[in-house]
Amino acid sequence: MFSKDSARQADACRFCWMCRHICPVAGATGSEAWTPRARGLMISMIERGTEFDKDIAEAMYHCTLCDACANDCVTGYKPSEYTREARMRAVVEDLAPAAVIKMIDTISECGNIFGLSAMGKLFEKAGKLPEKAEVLLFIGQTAEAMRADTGVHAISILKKAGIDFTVLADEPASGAYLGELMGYTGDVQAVAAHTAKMIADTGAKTLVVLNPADAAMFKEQYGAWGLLSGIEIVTATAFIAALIADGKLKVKKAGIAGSLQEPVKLTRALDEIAPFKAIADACGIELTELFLNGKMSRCIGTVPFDVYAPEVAAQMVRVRCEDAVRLGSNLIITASPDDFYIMSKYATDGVKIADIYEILDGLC
Amino acid sequence: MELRGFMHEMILTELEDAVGVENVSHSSDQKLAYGTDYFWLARMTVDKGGNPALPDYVVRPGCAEEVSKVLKIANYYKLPVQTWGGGSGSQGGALPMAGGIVLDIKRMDKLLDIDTKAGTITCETGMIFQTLEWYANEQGFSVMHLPSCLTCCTVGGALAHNGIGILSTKYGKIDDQCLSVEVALPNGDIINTLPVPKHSSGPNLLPLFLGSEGTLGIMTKAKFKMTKLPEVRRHHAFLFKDISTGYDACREIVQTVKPSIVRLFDEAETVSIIKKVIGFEKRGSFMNLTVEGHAKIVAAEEELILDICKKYDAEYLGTEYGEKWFENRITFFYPGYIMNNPQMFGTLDTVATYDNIEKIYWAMKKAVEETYDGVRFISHSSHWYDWGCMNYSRFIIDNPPEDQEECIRLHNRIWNAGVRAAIANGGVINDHHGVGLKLGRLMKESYGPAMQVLQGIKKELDPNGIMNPYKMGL
Ligand SMILES: Cc1cc2nc3c(=O)[nH]c(=O)nc-3n(C[C@H](O)[C@H](O)[C@H](O)COP(=O)(O)OP(=O)(O)OC[C@H]3O[C@@H](n4cnc5c(N)ncnc54)[C@H](O)[C@@H]3O)c2cc1C
Ligand code: SF4
Ligand code: SF4
Repeated sequence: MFSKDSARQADACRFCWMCRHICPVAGATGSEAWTPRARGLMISMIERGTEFDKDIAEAMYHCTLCDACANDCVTGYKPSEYTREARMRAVVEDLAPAAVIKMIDTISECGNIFGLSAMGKLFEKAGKLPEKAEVLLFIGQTAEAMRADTGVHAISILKKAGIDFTVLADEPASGAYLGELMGYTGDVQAVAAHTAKMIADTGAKTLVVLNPADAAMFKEQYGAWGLLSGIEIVTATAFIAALIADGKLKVKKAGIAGSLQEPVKLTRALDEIAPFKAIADACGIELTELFLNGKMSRCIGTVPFDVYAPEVAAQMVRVRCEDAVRLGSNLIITASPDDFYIMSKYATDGVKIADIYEILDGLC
Repeated sequence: MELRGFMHEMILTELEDAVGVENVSHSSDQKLAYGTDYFWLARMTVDKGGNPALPDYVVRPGCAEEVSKVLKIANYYKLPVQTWGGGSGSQGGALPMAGGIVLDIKRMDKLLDIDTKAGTITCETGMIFQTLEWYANEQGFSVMHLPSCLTCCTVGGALAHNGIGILSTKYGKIDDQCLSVEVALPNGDIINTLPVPKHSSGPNLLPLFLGSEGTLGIMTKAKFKMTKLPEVRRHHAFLFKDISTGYDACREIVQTVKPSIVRLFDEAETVSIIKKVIGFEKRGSFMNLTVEGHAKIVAAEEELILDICKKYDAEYLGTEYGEKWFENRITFFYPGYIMNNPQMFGTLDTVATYDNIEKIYWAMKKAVEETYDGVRFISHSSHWYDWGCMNYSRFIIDNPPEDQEECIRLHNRIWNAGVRAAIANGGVINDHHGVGLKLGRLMKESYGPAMQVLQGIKKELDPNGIMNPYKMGL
């Protein structure tokens, strides 16, 4: 049985086609089973006696939980909610794809979805940081393991601005990826509670979060669980945009043109559109605007999604590159280590993926 | 058709060879997704926990050549092929009622050409229509086909039953906007209609495929004209004392000027849906209208429209409600705003010349209301020509019978009554939703002996009858 709320939402979506155009997975693959309404239909049919099997579970994982559908909808229904619940059931009932189970195990064992940590490398490049400080920069799993440079540049920028900050040497997982893979279960809550304690133990008053997926987790879910109260949570983009606005960072103009890959967790989950644009503006980046920007920004996948559906993530990146090229831009600028990591793997020939932290660090 | 032994796997591997392993599926999730389109009977079936008709194979070709290969395989094995665009059709047109193959066209979504000098845009037909419109908008143009299903229908689906958008009164139906199509015929041959839609070079092939609902072939590419985005687009609203006066006034308006939107609602729809979505509270016949294009021409048109409405004693409601209607034009179709199961409902849209259209409104209303006690009938007219207009009438039953078979019987009786009232008074089976599975049985009644022309074409092009069986009465 699904919760009353999920069943009610799925019943509404199952006969509604209105948001399929905006769904990045449905758009990139053309697959009918991977539309929000098809998942609603499957859940409503399960509620009416259809067997929940491995194939249906697979369809539940072909969603990036990006909420483009819900954002485009006038009703307030949120397909990501019933999809996340279906994943919880899939894990509990042993129906989840093998790749998903493997990721859950890896995070549980190593604290990192990639099963490795490059924190040492990051500290080597970033230099010594104090043990305790007013501000804690939360790096996140992708920057920790696969994209240390984003972390290094973010650290360098904060240093240039004279911020008293530190980074956890043994930074734990926020639980964002686990929540994506198995819903907000008790296990995920336990991970969150442990992480919240480690953050609180640093004595930091402000938590600056580099990865938008973690920021959304801290702001939305930790709040719901009563964790991190009393600590101000700020995205790295908002924090740095404020430093620029306050004159703490002097930025030279880059004189480049590009299109912004606005992280969907910023634009939709956190309703934060201006800071990334403000940083780009300070860097003198001439923007190539897309139709799908701001609240409608196009998701190119998440790190867990890329692990279990790499060919779909690759196609979503290709679609995003086509958008940029069609409008005359061959430079796409990211503000999330996840976006940089995924887009760099699949960008089409001639399209360059850049990192706003790297650009800014070079200009201030 | 029952496949014995390992025949299923034999066909499966042949299909995989044609379009790639990852693009053929028979997994439960993939099949379930095609069990229901927007057709009320399909929705009712799954709502009641019944078993929808599912395909044996879901096949997703990536180009016209792959479509061709699939059709050749299907012809050899005499497997039904049901083309599926967005599945947003309301007539059950895409449903795999005969099993076999659902051919989902949405991987074919490439923009092939955009020519701002010629004002044309060409794409594959699996593209969602909204995407095509975005591409045109990026260059300052519009295809001017803005149906309420813009975000959910494919280009092919809109062409396949000759759809219509809200701006039709100025810019026409999709058959006025489409210049040519490429079609994969049932035997797998790929043909093109002539490069332009108007000529004296023999009978025009283009209109034969527009509205053919996947029964004569699969449209794979389409070329459209584009129009520059209008300098101004201005909205107005009026209230007439009744629909009869409204019909007269709107006829005179469209025979004088060219508004893009004219929507005239009967009192039943004015006091229900219009009230709910845009908050207009009065009784009477609400009408909203939009004029667009060059500012100077629009100003002149507005002056003439105001004069005509004055002549018919309309109350001018200003620009607010017209703007609200435009802003909320698709809100009407979301859950909570549109009818939903368990309610039974259907859209009986038809089109006729001005001497018949009002007769049809009253005849259809009477026929529907006489068929069942607890039915509501609401109507509006939203696509106008200088020779006539359409009626978009709906029946709604809030408490239909519990029993599935009873439901199907009642549903079909109401449809028969409503459509026959239209046909008897100079109307047609449908204006823009098509015929599909829902209304196929009424085709012969409507066409009379002319039906043999369609049957002859069908027989010649699709001798094995694989293309969308049970649909369109063919
Ligand atoms: C919310 C909503 C609003 C709507 N508003 C409008 C409106 O304003 N105007 C309007 O005209 N209609 C409207 N419709 C109905 C309209 O008929 C369909 O939404 C749409 O045109 C169907 O397109 P589709 O791609 O979903 O086709 P499907 O439902 O998948 O298929 C419809 C038919 O077309 C055939 N077909 C699909 N693609 C091809 C192809 N490439 N070649 C040959 N045959 C093909 C199918 O076999 C089937 O018979 C609305 C529907 C909904 C759900
Ligand atoms: S989220 Fe909204 S638009 Fe999308 S299927 Fe559900 S009700 Fe329809
Ligand atoms: S959350 Fe994103 S990926 Fe999932 S159905 Fe909605 S739009 Fe598609």
